[in-house]
Amino acid sequence: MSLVLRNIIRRCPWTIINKGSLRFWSSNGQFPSHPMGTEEYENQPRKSITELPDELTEHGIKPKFISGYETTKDGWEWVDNILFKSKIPEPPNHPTSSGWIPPNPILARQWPYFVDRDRFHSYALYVRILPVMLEYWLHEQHRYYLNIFRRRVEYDIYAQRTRRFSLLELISGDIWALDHDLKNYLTKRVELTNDKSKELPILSQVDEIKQHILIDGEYEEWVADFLKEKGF
Amino acid sequence: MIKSLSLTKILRYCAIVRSIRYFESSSQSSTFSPESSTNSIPQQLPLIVSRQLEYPHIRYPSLQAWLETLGQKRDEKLGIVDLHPSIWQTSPRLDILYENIEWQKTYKTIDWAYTPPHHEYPNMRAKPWPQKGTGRARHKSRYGPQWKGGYKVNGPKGPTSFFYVLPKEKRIEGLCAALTVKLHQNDVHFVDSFDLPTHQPTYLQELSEDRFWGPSILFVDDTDIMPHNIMFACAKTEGFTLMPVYGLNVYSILKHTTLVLTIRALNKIEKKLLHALHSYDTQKDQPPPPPDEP
Repeated sequence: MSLVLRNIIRRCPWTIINKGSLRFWSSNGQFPSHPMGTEEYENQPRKSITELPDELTEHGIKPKFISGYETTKDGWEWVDNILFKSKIPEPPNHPTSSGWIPPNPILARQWPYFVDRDRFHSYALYVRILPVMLEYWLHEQHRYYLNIFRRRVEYDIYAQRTRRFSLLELISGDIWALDHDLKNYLTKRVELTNDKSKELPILSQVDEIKQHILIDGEYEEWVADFLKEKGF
Repeated sequence: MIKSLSLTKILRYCAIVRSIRYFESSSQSSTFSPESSTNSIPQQLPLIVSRQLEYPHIRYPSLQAWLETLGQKRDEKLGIVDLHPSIWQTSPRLDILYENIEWQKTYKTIDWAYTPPHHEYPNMRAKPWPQKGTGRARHKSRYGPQWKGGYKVNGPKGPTSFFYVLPKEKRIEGLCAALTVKLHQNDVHFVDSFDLPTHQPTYLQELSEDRFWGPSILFVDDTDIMPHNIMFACAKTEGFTLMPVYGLNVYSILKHTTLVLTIRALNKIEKKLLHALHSYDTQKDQPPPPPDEP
């Protein structure tokens, strides 16, 4: 609303506004522009199709008979479920059948770091994918890499698949301690499996400005288990 | 009750300038509305101005800051204000602050550079001298790109705009980061209202000098209609700017050394930012447009 109208509304007592003795003219000259939306219009009893004139029905055909119906106000919850709502509902305080677990604030306070939930009350765990160019020449097949950071890349090139990372966001506190604990947990978890990726080291990148950790490999489920253990 | 604070300590502390301290609040003892403390300073000081915070944070309790006045020169604290950690205790995201400032600078710029192409130059058909015979290089016209004063082939063409809109989530995160940065560097002050006793600009200048409130101050109120006294004082002082809540932006927050907010402005900012931080779809979630404006 314009500044002038806002001031008028502020200084006028509410009785005058409600009685409607002050009419605010809109820019197109009509007030209101259409009765649709006003209380009088919306609260009128709705007409059925049989009562409408011929012009408004399709092709001038009016149904001559409509089966009996009953208007009720029950079952609104089924309609409400489908409507768009800007407010996200609060989740329950117990674990649900889908596998969702609420955060444990008492347990979460023990650690020097904290991983927050996003607005939908889920972990801020994401997958990042990078394409891999095939740099695989015959004469380079027997290369041996001392650089541990290159071993994972070479394995992905050999397997001809895209590079996959798991990203953990919304971290606060001591990121390096969280990184250390995460790596220990993942190495232990990897040793339990019979995967070839046991030989490869678990590498992570810590970004202090963006407060996130990027882990080389698809370890999202295990990171989620780690977060559940810590109560985040 | 506030831990480790007695009345004598508080009265001694009020004489000290530039005071913000953050305590962990265990419980709110008294509920006192901030509106009643605008005109008269009651005898029982300090007051705990408790505010109900929406969407409480799991891990971090609310921050606390002093509530001050502009009504008198002497730096007396009226009470303590609670601040939401999701807004005032986020990580100082330098990358997001940079993106916001770059956006604010570039989205308004238009590059007016224009070099006319060859068809906008006069008389291209005239050969300056015959092809052969003279000892000079062969040319077709006097306005070729190699000539002085000639046309440019791939030069800038017309006004180019650098308009783009930064995503809403980044703008929200930028505001939260800027506010945290300001608060944790002791450059934010909360004030009950902008009612001054005089319209003289020297009053406000001397007040800000005594309290070490930087050369440039950004005063933020919830509406765009301000009391006359502060309007006059800020108009005559270089560096003092008045701003309503809807004009708050990262560039202004970081450009001015101090930020002075009223309680009403703080309530409005927190309500809007928390609603945006916890809404389902920020693009769809727009307030309905008013009927007068397009």
